[in-house]
Amino acid sequence: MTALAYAVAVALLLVGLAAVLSGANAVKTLIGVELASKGVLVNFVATDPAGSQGIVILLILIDAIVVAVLLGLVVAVYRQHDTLDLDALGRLTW
Amino acid sequence: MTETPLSMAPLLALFAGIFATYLVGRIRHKRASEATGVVAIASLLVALGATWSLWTAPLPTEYAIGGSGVGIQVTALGIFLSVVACLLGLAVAVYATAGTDDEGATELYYPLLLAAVAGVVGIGFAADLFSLYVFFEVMAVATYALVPFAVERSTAVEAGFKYVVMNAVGSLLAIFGISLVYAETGGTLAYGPVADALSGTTGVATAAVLFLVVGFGVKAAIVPLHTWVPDAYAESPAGASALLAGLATPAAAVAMIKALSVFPGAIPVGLVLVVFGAITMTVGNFLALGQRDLKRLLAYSSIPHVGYVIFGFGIGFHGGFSVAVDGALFHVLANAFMKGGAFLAVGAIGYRLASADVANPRHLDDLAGIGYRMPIAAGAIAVAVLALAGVPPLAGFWGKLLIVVGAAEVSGWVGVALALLVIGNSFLSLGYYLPVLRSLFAAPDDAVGSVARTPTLLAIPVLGLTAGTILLGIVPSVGFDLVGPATDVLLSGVMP
Amino acid sequence: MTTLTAAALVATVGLAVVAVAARDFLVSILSLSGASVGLAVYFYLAGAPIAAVFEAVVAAGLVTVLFLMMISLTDAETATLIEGRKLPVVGLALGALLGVSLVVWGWLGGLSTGGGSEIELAEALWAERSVDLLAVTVLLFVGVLGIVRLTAERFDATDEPITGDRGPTDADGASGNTEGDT
Repeated sequence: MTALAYAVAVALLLVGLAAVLSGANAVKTLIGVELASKGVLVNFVATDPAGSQGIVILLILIDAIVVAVLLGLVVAVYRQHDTLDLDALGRLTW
Repeated sequence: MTETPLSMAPLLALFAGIFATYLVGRIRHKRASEATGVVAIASLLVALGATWSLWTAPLPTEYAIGGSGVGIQVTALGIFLSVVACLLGLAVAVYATAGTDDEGATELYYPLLLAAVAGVVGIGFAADLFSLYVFFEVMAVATYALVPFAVERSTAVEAGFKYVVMNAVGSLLAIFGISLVYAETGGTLAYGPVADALSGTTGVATAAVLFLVVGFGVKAAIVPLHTWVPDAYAESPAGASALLAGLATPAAAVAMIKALSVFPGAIPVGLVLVVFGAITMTVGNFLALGQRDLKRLLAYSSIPHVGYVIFGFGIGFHGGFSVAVDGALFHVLANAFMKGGAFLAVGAIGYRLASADVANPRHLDDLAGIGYRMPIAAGAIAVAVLALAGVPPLAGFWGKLLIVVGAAEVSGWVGVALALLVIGNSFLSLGYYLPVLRSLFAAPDDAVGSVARTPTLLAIPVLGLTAGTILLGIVPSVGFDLVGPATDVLLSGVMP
Repeated sequence: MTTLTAAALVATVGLAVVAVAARDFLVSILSLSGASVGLAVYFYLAGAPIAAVFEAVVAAGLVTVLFLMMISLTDAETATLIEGRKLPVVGLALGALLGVSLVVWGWLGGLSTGGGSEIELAEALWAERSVDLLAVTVLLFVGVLGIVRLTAERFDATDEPITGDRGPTDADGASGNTEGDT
C-alpha cells in the first residue's frame, strides 16, 4: 500500500515537471506546478497519515497561494502580449 | 535551552510592520510615502533591537506559541541572518522613502519588502525543516511580486514570469526533498531527531540531498540554475534588486546549508557543494565579462559571489574546516553591504539619468562620467566594485581570504588547486569590474554633464552601506564576532 | 478499504495525466480538479480526514475557480465555452464538493466517538505548528498584495491611470516625489 503511494507521489512529481518543462502554454505550466505539489503531499500522507496533517494542511494553503500569485502573473503577461502561448513569447522559455 | 517570548519579537515586529505599512500606505496623503517608510523603518529597528537583546541573552533560546509543539529556535546562526536582513532592510526602506521605486503603489511595496526580510529572519530562526521551508516560501512569494513590480513594463513582467516559474519549481523540489527526509525518518522533521535517524546512508537520503541542493539551488543561483538572475535582478526596482542580490539569494544558500547539515557525513554533501560552488564561481565570472549594462553586470556578478559562499560551505562540511565556513558567512554579511550599496547606487543613477536625455541610463557608455556629477552614487559603486573584486582592506577581501585558507587546508595538491581557483576567480572578476570604474570617471558628455546630484534620501542608505563596506574591511573583527558562533552552530549540528 | 485507497491513488494519477496531455484548457482544468478530488478521497481513506477536507475545498474548489477565472480573463474562446456551459460546470464542481463532504461527514460520524474529536484534532494541529500557521497567515496577506499588484490595470491609450492613486507617472514609471538634493 505505502509502496504504491510513494510510487504515485513520484509519478505526480514527474507528470507535473513534464508539464512545466514542455513549456507549451502558461496554463499547462501552472497545472504542472500544482500536480507536482500534490506529489509532495502524497509523500507526507503515505508516511504518517494522521500526524502529518498539520504539515499537509499548511502545504495545501501555501500551494494555493503560490498558484494564485502565478495566476496573477499570467494575467499580467497576457495583458502585455495577448496570448498564453509560451512559444510565441520567446524570451520566457528557458 | 531557555524559553523566552522575546524569541518571537523580531518576527512579530516584522509581521506587524507588514500589516501596518499596508494600512498607513492606504491613507491618501501627500506624504504617504514618507509616513509608510517611517513605519517600515520603525518595524525594522524594533526587530534589530530585539535581535540585539537576544544576542546578549544565553543562547540558544526557543519559543512556541501556546507552549508546545514546533516553535522557533534562536541560535547564533539565526541572530546572524537576522542582523544581515534587518540592516539591509533598513537601507532599502530608507531608500524607498524617496518614492522612486514604488510606482505609486506605496501600500504594496513596503509590505512586500518587509515580508522578504521577515522570510529571511524566519529562515534563521526555523526550528525544523518544515518551518525552514515555510519561511523560505514567505521570502520567495514576497520576491515573486517584487520582481515584476513595474507591471506596465513588459520586460519586467516577462522577467517576473520566468523568475517565478523557475523558483516555484525549485521550491517544490526542495519540499519534495524534505518529504523524502520525512519518509526516511518515519514522521519527524526536527533537526536533532532527523540527524539521529539518518545515521546510515540510504538511497532515499542521497536522493533527498540532491533534491535539496537543486531545489534551494535555483534560488541560490547555482549554475546551471542561474538563468533567471540577469533578467530578474535587472528588471526589479532598485530596492528590490538590492534585497534580492544582497539578501534573498545568499539566504537561500544558507537555507540549503541549514537543511543539509542534518545529513550524516557518509553522504558527500561537502563535496557536492565544493563542485557546484567551483562551477558557479567560474562560470559566473565568465558570464559577467563583456557586460555593458551596469545593472545586468552587477546581476551576473552576483552569481560568482554565491559561488564563493557555497564553495566555502562545501570546504567546511567536507573537511570540517570551520575557517571556510567563517569565510562563507562573513562573505554573506559583506555581500549584503557591497551588493546592496551597488544596486541602490545604480538605482539612484538610473533615476537621475531617466529624466536626462540619455538613451540607456544603465549602459556603461551612456553613463560615462557620471562620477563627476553624482560623486556619492558613483563613489559607492566604485567602493563596492573594488570590494567585490576582493581588494583589501575592503569587506570583500576577508571572506575570500578565509575561504582560500580553508581550501588550502585540504590536504595535498587538491587544496592548493582549490585555493588557486578562488584567487584566480577574484582576479578574473577584475576584468569586468575595472571597466565600470573607468566608465564612471570618464569624460562626461552633455546629457550626463547636466544631471543633478544624488537625492538625499537615496544618498543616505547608499552612504551607510558604503561605510559598512569600508568599516567591515578595516575592522573585520566585528564581523568575525558575529560569524564565529554561527559557524559553530552550523558545524556542530543545528540542535545542541 | 485498501482497494478503494489504491483506486483513489490511481484515479488521481490518471486524471493528472489527462490534465497535462489535454489540448483544451477546460478539460485540463477540470481534470486537475478531478485529480484533487481523487487525492482528497485518498487522504480521507488513508486516515487524514482534515487534510482531505482542506484538499477538497482548497484545491478542488478554490484553485479550480481561480483557474477558471483566469481563463475567462484571458482566453475568449474558452470563456464563451464556460459561459455557455456555466451551469453544468458549476453544478459539477458543487456536486463533487457535496459528495466528498457527505462521505466525510458520514464516515466520520460512524467512526468518531463524538463530535468533540474533530475539534480536539484541529486544536492539536493548531498547537503543533503555531508559528508556521502564523507565517502562512502572513503569506496569505503577502500573496493577496502580490496579486493586487500584478492584476492592476495598465494605462490605456489615453494615458489616463485607471487605478493609479497618486496621479499619472512619467514614461519610466518612476513617480516623481520631491526630495532634497545632495
